[in-house]
Amino acid sequence: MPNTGKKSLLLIIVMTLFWGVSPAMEVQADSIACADCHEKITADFQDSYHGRAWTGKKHSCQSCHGDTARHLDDPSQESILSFGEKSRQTADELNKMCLGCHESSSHISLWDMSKHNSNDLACINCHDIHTRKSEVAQPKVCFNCHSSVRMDAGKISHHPIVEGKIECSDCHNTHGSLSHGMLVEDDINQLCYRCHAEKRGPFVWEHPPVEEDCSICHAPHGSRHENLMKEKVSNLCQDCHNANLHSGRAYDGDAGFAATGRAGNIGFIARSCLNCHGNIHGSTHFENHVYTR
Amino acid sequence: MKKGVYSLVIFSLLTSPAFAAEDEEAKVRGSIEAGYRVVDDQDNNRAHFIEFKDRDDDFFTSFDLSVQKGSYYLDFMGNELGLNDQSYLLKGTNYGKFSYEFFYEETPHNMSFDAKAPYTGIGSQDLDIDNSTIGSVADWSSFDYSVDRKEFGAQVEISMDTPFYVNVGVQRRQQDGIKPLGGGSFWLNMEMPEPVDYTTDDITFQGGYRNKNLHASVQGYWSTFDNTNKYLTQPNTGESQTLPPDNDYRKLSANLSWRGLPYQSMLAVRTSYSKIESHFSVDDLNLTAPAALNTDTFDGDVTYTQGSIALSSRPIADLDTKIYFNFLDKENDSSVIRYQDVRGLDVSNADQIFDYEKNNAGLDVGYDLARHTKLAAGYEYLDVDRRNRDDAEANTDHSLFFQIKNTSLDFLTAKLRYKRLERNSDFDNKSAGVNDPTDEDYIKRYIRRYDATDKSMDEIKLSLEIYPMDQLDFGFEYAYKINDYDETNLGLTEDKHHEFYADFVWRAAKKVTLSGFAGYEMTEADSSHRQFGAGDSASIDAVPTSTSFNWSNERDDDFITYGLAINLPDIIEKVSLNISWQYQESDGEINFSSQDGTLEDINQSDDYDKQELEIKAIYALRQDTDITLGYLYEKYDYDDLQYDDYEYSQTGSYLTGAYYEQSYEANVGYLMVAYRF
Repeated sequence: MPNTGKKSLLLIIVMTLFWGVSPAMEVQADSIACADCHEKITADFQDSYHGRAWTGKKHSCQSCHGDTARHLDDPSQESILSFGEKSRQTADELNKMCLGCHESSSHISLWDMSKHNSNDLACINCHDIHTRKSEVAQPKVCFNCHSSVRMDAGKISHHPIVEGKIECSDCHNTHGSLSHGMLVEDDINQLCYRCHAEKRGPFVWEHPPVEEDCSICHAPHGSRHENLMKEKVSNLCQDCHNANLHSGRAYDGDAGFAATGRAGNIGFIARSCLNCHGNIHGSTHFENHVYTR
Repeated sequence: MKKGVYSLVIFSLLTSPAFAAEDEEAKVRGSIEAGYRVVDDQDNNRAHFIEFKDRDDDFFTSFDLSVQKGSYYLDFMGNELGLNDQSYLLKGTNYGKFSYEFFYEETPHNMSFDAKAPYTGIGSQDLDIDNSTIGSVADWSSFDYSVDRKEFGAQVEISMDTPFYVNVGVQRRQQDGIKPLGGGSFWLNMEMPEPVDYTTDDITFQGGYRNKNLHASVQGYWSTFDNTNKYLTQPNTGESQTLPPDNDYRKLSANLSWRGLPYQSMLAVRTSYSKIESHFSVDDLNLTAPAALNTDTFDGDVTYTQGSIALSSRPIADLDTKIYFNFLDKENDSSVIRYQDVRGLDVSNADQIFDYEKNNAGLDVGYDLARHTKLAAGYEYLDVDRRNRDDAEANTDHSLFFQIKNTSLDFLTAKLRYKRLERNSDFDNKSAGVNDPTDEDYIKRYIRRYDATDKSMDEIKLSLEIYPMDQLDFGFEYAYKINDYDETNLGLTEDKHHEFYADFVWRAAKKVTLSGFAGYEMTEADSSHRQFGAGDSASIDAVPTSTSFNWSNERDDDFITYGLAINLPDIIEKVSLNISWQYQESDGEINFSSQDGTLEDINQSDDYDKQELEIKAIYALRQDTDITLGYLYEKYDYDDLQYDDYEYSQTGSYLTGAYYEQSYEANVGYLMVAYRF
C-alpha cells in the first residue's frame, strides 16, 4: 500500500509543523544543585511521567533520593539513596520510596504477597523512572530474568511477543495476582478465552483436556511444533489415545508420503490426526463424529 | 488511511484542553520516523517470514507525540501507518483525576501462502468439488491461509482525586480470513479452507475504593462472540462440518486486599462467577436430524465459580509467610442430546458433559539467614474431582519446594531451587467388567492419560549472576525436570527436560557494548502403545502377531540457540553501528521399538534452522535528526517427514498444502529518517 504510507507520512509532517517545538524545559528549584553534576538525568527527568506529574508541585530529586545535603559534601553512592546497580539499599528499602506514593494504586494492591516481591525484585529493576517513556520495555526487561521464556518466545511457533503485538503484562499481572503464574485471570482457560473466544464453546461434544487446561496441550510462550503444541501431532494425541485401528497404530518412518505399500498414511502425513479431527477443541454436531464434524 | 485521519482529528480535539488553560504554555515532545524498505523474498514461501508482520516494498512511518500542560498530558503513538500491522494508541491523563485510552491495532497471522484446493466457494461456508479441475492439481484454485485481526477500543478511568474510582472499557475484535480445517473420515479426508469471520465485543467495568491499606473493587466483564459461518459444507459429502458457535460470556468478580494488619500482614480475597452460553439448532447448522433425536436445539450452559483467599505475614523478624486457598468449580448444565446411530444404538452426550472442581491450598515461608542468604520453602496441595472423565475421576497433588538464594558477594548472586510433586490418581477402570481381550474396550484398563494420572515430578533449577567487573555481567542458568508416570502401561511413561542458558553484557569504556546469549534445550519423552485391529487381542500380554503388537517410542528433541550483538556508538564521527546475529537449530528424532521389530525410526521431526542478521548504521545528521541505513537477512530451513514428498491428492483424500513449504530466505534493506522535537 505505497500510497497509503506516503499520505500518512505527509500528514504527520504537516501535523508536526503545526504543533511546533516546545520551549526550554522547566527544572524544579531544589533540583538545580543536582543538575550541576547530573545534567542529563535531570533534563531527561522533566519529560518523564514523574517529572510531568510533579510539575508545579513540591517534589524534586529529594522526594525519591532522600536528603541531598550530605551528598553535596560527599558525592559517593553511599551518601544518598541510590537506585543504581551498585545500590547499597535492599529491594525492600528502595520499594518503600516508590510505595510511599503508589501504595494506593489498584495495580499493585497485591505487591506484598507477589512472587516478584518475595524474590526481592525492586521497582527500578523493571521501571526506568528518568526517561520520557517509563513503561517497562517488554519483553526485553522480562527476558533478563526469565531466560526460559526468552528461548520459547524465539521458537518458530510463538505468540507474537517479540513482534510487539502481545506484551507479557497482557497475560501476567507482574505486580501480583492470586492466580498461579501471576495470571491476570482466575485460571488459564479464562485467560485464553479473552482472545480466543471461538474456543469457549460450550460444545455438544467436549474434549476434556481442552475444558480443563489449555496448557495440557499447548505451550503458550512458544514451541518447536506448529500451533504451540507441546508435542508433535500424532505423538501428543497418542500419549492419551490408544484404541484399535488407527489411534494405536505406529506412525513410524514408513508412514510418510513415500511410504511403501499403502500410499502414505493420512494419520501421519501433513497435519496427522488433525487431517480428520479438525474440531479437536469441541464439536457442535448433534451426532458424535469424534471431532471430525 | 481513514483510520489515521480519524485518529488525528481525535488527537486534535483532545489536545485542546492542554491549550485552553491560560497560565502555562503547553510542552510538545515527540519523534517521527519515516523510511522506505525493499524486501526480497520468495513469494510462495514467505508466510513464515511475515507471520505476524506486513513486509513488502513500501514506505513505513511511526510517530510519537506528547503534549503536556500543567498536570494534564496526552500521548499519541502510531506504528507502521497504513500497513496491515499498523497500531495506534492515544492516551491521556490528568493526574489523580482521570485517564483515558483509545487504541487500534491490526495483526496479520499468515500461515501458508499459495495453498491449492479443487473446490468452488473458497472463502465461504459452501464448498463444492470443482469437477473441471479435480483431475489436475495444477488447475486447482489458489488461496492463502491467513487471518487478519483488528482490535479497537477505549477505556476511561475517573477518580477525581478521591479514593473512589470507576473504570469502563469497550473493545471490538474482528478476525477475517481463512484457516485450515480437517474433516471427513480416515479414507475420505478433506483438508478445507475454513472461512473465519469472527466478531468479539467486550465491555468491562470496574468500580472500587483504594487507599494506602485497603483496596476493594467489583468488576464486570461481558463478551459476545459472533461467528458469521456456523458450518462449512464438506465438498465430498455435502454434509456440514460444524464451526465454533456464537457465545456470550459474562463475569462478575469482587476483590479485597487489606494491608497494615498485625505482624505486617496482608489479606487478599477474590471471588468470581462467570457463565458461558451458546444456543443453536439442527437447522442453524444445516444438519439432518438423526433418528430419535430428543431435541433439535442445544443450549450450552457452563458456569465457573471461583474463590481465593491469601494471607501474608511477617510474624517475627526475617520470617515471611504466606498461606492461601483457592477453589474453582466448573458446572456444565448444557443440553443432553440423545439419538440413535445408523446401527440403531442409543448415543448420548450425557456421559461427555464435563465438569470439575479444584481445591488448592498452600503455605510458603521465607527466612532471611545471615550473610545475605534467604531460605524459602513451601507446600502445596491440589485436589481435582471430575465428572464424566473417561479415566481419572480424581487426582490429588502434593508438592514441596525448597530454595536458597545468596547475595553476600558483591560479584555474585546464586539461587538454587528444588521442587518435588507426587500425584495420586483415582483411576477409573472403564473395562473392569470386560473379560474378553478381543473386545475393543479391553484396552482401557491399560491407558493412563498424563495430565491426570499418577506421577512423580522432580525439578531443579540453578541460576548464577556474576559481575566480575563494573561493566561486565554474566548469567548462567540450568534447569532439569523429570516426570515419571509410574502407573502407566499405555501412554506417556516418562519425560525429561534439560535446559542450559548463558548470557553476557560487556560495556567497554562506554564506547562498545557487546552482548551475547546461548541456550540449549533437550527434551526426551518415552511412550508405550499397542497396535491391534478388529478381532485382535487388546491384551498387552498376548502373543504378538503381524497386526497386533506392543510398540514404544523415544522422542528426542534438541533445541539450540545463540546470538551476538554489538553496539558501536561514534565508530566514526557521528556514525553509530549496531550489528546483531542470531542462530537457532531444532533437531527432533523418534526411535521406535516393537515386538514385531519392523518399525523404522524417524530422523526428521520438526527439524529446522534459522539465521537472522541485522546491521544498522545510524548517522547523526543533527542533534535532533538521525538517518539510518539498515539491512536484515533471514534464512529458515524446515524439514519434517510428515511433509516430505508432499502429495495434494491421494485416493479419496485431498490436502491443500497447509504448512507445507515453510522454508524461506529474505533480504530487507531500509533507509529511515528520525526527527525528534
